[in-house]
Amino acid sequence: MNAFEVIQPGAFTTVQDLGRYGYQKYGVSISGAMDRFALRVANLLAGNDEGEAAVEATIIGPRLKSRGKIRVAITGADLSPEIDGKPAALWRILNVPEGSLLSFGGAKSGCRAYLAVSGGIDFPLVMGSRSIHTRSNLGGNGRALAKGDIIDCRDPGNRIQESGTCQLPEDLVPVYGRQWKVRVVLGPQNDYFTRKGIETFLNSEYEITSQADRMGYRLRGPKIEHKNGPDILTDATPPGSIQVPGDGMPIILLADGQTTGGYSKVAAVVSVDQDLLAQARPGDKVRFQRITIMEAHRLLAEMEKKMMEIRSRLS
Amino acid sequence: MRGYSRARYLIVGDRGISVEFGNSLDEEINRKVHKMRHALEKAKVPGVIETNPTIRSLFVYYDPLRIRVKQLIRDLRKIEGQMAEIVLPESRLFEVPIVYGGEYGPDLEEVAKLLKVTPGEIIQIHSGKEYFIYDTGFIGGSAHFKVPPPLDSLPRKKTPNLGVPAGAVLIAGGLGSVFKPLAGPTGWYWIGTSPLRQWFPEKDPPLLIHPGDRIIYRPVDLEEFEQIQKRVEKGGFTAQVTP
Repeated sequence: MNAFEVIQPGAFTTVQDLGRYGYQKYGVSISGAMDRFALRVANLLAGNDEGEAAVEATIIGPRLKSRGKIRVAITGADLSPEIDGKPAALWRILNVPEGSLLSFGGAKSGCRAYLAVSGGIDFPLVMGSRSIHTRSNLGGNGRALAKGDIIDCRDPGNRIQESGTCQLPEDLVPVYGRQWKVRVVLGPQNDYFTRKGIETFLNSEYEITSQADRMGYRLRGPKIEHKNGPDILTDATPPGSIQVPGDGMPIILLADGQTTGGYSKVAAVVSVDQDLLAQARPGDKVRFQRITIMEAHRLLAEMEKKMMEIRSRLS
Repeated sequence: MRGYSRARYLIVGDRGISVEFGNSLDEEINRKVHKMRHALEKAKVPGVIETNPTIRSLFVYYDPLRIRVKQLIRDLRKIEGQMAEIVLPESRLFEVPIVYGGEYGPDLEEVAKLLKVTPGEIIQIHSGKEYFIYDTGFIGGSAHFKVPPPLDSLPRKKTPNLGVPAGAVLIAGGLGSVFKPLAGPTGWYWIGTSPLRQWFPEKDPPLLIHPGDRIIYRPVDLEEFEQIQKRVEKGGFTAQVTP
């Protein structure tokens, strides 16, 4: 079944699920939603499995025309969504009549919005995922959504329990500001930096530059000092890695980041805060806070507990 | 010294461990990486999602909700102790056709100038030798090897090239990229182009050349380049020489 047609694609709109695993060794990025939390909740609201593929819009959202009666949920950034010109609520299930225009306006908060369709998006699985990775032309048409694309629904028979709560409780909705505290675990090459360099990294404010996309964010701020130059023998650069080239300015690699790289990595952003960073925009300010690996794992366990709570409150 | 006596286990964020066997471009170190990878795959440790073997370390991606990091490192150390018995797959040799210089390698002249030799000498040094493939990484599985002197003294470019095509043969930082699997930016010097393809997303595995394989460049003229390119497109060209 056709779900909708792309009338205007917006700034950079793709389809993402939870990512492509098992292929990093072949140079294939993990990809997947930049904000996994928002994706998972959008799917749960739409009555899907939390890992279904959904639309990811960036700052300027798309204009979509429904090609049937569909149910959707929009989460993440508030990009002023509207259905036929009327404001649509975030973090709840919405009915979209056939032939309606689903559009987005100004970006009020956050950077990336997720639009899940009940029944999921029908893209073929490529290497186990429906995620679009534009740099290697994987997923969907191998590019961002474009005008005229028709998006199909994978399982139109998907039923939503009408009696259940169809809205994420207010206390669980994240709030996005323009200043971000990002928790990191030091390493694997923190020994490539001087003590002063590490102190600068942990005690300074960095600004997200305009060079910020799904691959990574280039930051600007006080220079992080190396001991003897920035280069290492190339090794793995998983999402969250903070590499520092010779100019001393950190680059945070994210979902579409390359699988290997030759710059020393001072630290890595913990998983739960990678979701938050997905909602940061160019011009936003970032401060790094060092935590231990054990604390990072505790945060991850808390996040899963929160997801369990959301699942139980939505069912 | 050829690598560490015992591997280093480095924390990489909250989902990764890097098992580092040394800090130099060395085939013995690289073989350890791949032995460890095969041993780990055989051991099927619960909570290990995937691995990414690189030049001198094995990256292990895990789910911390399924395995505690201390337990994982204990398991990995045990596997490290058993990996010597692993026999690696036979190394294959690929002949890589290449056109050097001109619009097919716009940086060849600059590389020659920087190294104070002629472009012809660069071609002579770069081609006709067997190179061992250390890793496949970056985007689309770019395969890397160690370049011989004086090419190994070439740094990365100060200003990255914003667009080189698939097939671009690159060198920088002591390494060569056999040829770029996909078009895109690079901070490496572009000295030639090959008509071969490395990236086959519809196949599993999706790459032609794998770590542990060897390659040898064979200079060709434009006519042969185009002939090979056509045959590659149709899937009717075999670059593999042995076994």
